[in-house]
Amino acid sequence: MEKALEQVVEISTDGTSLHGVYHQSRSEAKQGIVFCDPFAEEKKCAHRVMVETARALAASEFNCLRFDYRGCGDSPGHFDQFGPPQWLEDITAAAAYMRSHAGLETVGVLGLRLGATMALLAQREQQLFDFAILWEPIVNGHRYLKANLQRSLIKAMMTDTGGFSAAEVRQNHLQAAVLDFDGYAVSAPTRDWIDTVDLLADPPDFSAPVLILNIGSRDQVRGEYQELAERMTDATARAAILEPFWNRIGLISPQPVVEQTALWLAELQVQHTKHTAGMPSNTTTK
Amino acid sequence: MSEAAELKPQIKQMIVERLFLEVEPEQISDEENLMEAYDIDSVNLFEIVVGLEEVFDVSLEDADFSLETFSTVNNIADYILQNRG
Repeated sequence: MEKALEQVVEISTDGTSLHGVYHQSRSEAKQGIVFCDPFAEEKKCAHRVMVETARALAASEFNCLRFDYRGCGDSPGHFDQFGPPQWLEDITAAAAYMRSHAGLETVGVLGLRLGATMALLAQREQQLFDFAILWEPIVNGHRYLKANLQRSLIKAMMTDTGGFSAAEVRQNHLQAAVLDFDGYAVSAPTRDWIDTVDLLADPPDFSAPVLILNIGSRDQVRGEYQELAERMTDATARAAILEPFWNRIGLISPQPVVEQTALWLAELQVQHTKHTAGMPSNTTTK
Repeated sequence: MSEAAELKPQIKQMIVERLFLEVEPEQISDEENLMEAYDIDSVNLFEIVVGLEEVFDVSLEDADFSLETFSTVNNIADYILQNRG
């Protein structure tokens, strides 16, 4: 299989240009996938896996676009100047880029953690994507913030040998004007936006096919992902055994998640082929 | 078999799975210091906290975050027995 071409691109959004990398498949297929990165430190840890996944999918027949949200990575601005409302616009701009500049007819999205959640929410505003691949989406923002608080407590516990004040850590987490999110300065509006996310209470109306991929130590899908899949029109939840690479620094092969993703995409194509040929589909997605 | 004796193999299984340790669960002794024996850092400890919540239905409060709580399988078992819902 030949290596795909990679090209740095600029994606226009709200008067600025986002940094992107377009992985052009050598296939003639007019289909592509927009990658939506996770948040803050998770983006940094997941970078290599996202790059390798884009390369793997482009080496088959999906053109892939990775990009940095405003204030993140190589896109202009500072992290604390922007937040989810702007990042949803950036996702919309990336989807538009794939259809207009790259001329693709079928465009899906692959999001990780908060990136997966934002991809779904961007779709709520307008029908951007023909399919979605959600790797460990954040279903409940309040729990996501609580997990960050727990991480802060653990760090304080392990590093402050003179004894740490849990109340102080909590106070900083919940009430400071700028939240220390694993070393990233998160503004109060962003914290509040995340806090209100609840995909089960308010499931996105995403009628296109969706893969929810539970990534962890067990070949078993967590209850919240099963429930989310059941609340969507055409979603399936599966599990892949892999370390939580978005929390790790080091070399982790993305093979299990790439394989599960490629398998689902192949099933989707079979389904699509049968549908366009007027044949009944035997594939069930739930 | 006491509740603690039933819990300990499950705790060891959870630790091995969530930390992707290359040891058999039964190789972990009840009293050994987990931090030292398995080089547990803050990322690993967070995985154990999530495992406690998901597998054993305990919800950790701020005051529960002490190295003592997580130092051995025995301590973790005691904590679960005192706090699970």
